[in-house]
Amino acid sequence: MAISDTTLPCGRDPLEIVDHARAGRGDEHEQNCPHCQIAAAEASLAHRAAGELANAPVKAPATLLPAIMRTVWAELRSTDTVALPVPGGGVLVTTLAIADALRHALDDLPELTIHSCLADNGDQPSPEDHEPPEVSVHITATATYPAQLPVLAGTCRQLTVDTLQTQFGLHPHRVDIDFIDLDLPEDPS
Amino acid sequence: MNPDYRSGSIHPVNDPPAPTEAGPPRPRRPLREDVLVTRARDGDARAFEQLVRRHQRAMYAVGLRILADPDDAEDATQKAFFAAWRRLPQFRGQAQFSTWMYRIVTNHALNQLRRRQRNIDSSADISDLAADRQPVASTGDPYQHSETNALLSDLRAALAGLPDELRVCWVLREVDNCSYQEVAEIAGINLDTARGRIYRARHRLAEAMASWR
Repeated sequence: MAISDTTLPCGRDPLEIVDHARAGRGDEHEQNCPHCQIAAAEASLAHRAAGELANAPVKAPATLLPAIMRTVWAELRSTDTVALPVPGGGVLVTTLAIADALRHALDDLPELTIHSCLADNGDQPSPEDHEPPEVSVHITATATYPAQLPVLAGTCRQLTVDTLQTQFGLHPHRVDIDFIDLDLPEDPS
Repeated sequence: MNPDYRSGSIHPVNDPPAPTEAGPPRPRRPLREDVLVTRARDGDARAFEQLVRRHQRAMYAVGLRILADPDDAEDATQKAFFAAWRRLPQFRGQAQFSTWMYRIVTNHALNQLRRRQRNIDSSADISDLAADRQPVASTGDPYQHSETNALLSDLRAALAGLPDELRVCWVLREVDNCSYQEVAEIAGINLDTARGRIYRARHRLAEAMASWR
């Protein structure tokens, strides 16, 4: 593609000349035309330096990560809450915190990789109902081949139930687990 | 209220597994990038923190190359990561996370440049920074190492002398290997303008570095 204000005196587009030269596929004209050769030479040194620049070690400032995470933690996404079954009531936990605790526990299962773990508070009973709060959990995960999925699903469910009970005093209304893939062992070659 | 499980069985919750002997916490497995992205999209700040740890150096380097100012680069990188955190629910994995981040950082750096151009004489500002860079790590050959550092130093000085709009297009094309179309899209200009700027930047850099030829 030619551009009017940057066309060489020989009529060629200098960007194309450079691209061709770098790809080693300049035609006969480009290899012999002085205008094309100058265009290719002009770009070659800075191109070499650009490679060095791309590889030059740059260290991120030590203050960068803490500054980012301070802002992230200060603005965690607002999520639904679940009322914990404690005497007197008045204690809420976010579904985000519940999911966080579940991920932390489930990451201990060696054959399972949790991708998504979402807790849903469903229809929360009013305090007058004296019903335990409902929470359901939806997990998507991959299993390490050749895991036995029914056994792994049972273990995953059990750990989910135990964690909800131990950490929050909650019992899940349902725990759905979707295995979205199997993690195959790396090919040693 | 009866539990409604789709499959499998659940042992009574009042019958917890036997306690295990407490030991040091097991090291956590490093998680694949797509897993971290999915988790971060769900609102998992710890997963996002791991993504930031993995990519902060590369993204800061992108900002630094465009802005040629460490403070501005840090500011742009910080804002870009925070914008990414907010936009993650819309990220559907249509590109690599690093590619997606790269575009966000570049856009923030370009916005920063525009603000700087409005407020101060940017050429005076960045020329002060050309020499303030870390040298290239030694490769073992002292002569080559010294020559590479000198080349880089001259390139940085030459880049600092370019107008911002030329430097940005050159960096995107030559350092970050963007296509002409990507340069145009990222810089918010049409394709012909992008190509013209790359050409002029190359020409001016060649003039500024003529002593190397």
